[in-house]
Amino acid sequence: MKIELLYFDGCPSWEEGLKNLEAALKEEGVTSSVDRIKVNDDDEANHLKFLGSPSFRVDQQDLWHEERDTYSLSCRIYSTPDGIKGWPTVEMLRTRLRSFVG
Amino acid sequence: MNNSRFVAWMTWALILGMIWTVVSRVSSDQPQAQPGAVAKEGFAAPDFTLDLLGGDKVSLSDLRGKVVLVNFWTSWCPPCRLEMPAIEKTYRSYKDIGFMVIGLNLTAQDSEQAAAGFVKEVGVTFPIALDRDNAVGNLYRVTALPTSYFIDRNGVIRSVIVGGPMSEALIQSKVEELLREGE
Repeated sequence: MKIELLYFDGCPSWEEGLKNLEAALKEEGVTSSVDRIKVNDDDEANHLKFLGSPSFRVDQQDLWHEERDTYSLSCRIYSTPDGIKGWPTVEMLRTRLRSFVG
Repeated sequence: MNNSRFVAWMTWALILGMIWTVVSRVSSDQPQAQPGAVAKEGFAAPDFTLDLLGGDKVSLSDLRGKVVLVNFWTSWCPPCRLEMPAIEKTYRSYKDIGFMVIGLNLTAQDSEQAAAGFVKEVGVTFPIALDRDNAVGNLYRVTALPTSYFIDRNGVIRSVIVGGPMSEALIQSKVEELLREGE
């Protein structure tokens, strides 16, 4: 299972996102490591179909997939039980990961 | 439910869905935005009323007749910060000929103090609306910051830009295009 976290330095929320992702993987018993992919500019964002920082992918699929006309550097936000945050909760990540782990 | 009845039911559901999509989409020359629309290009911009930084309130529907840029932002979002001076400059250039900006701060994910500090630092003069409970963010289904909605004089969303920073040239071209339509 290939697990990626896409981010850009401008949005500090990716670090919390990484912590929660690692916790979720541990709780789900997934031993794969997380590849961090830094997105540097809009060209790379377009190429990678980057939906904002942080984004989480398993086997190339975004855990919260959406289609856009264009892709650029942005700070992604997530609707959590505690309101809008810059990263998903561990539980949200676990729920999404389960659909890949089976 | 037998198979043929299920197929008939699904067909009707599909037809009704298609009719609703066509009916709820409004063309730019319609004078009135329709209630209940979704926040997508070609659809009426959902209305909202929010408190403004420094007092007073703003309702999107009160701005009908103007070209409006609704810019979702937070003070901790670097691309939001980077594009704010360009938005301010465009606002100053076109505000007297029918252009309005609402800087829509996602206050639930920010703080009024931080937002006020940044606005002062940049010298923003357009209204800053405070979305304290993310009601408008949810209404517009904002998933990334910044996100900008360009709305025409009829209240129809004509362009959505997710991410940033938008260049001054990009903002100006979109605003000028929409302003020209009202001439």
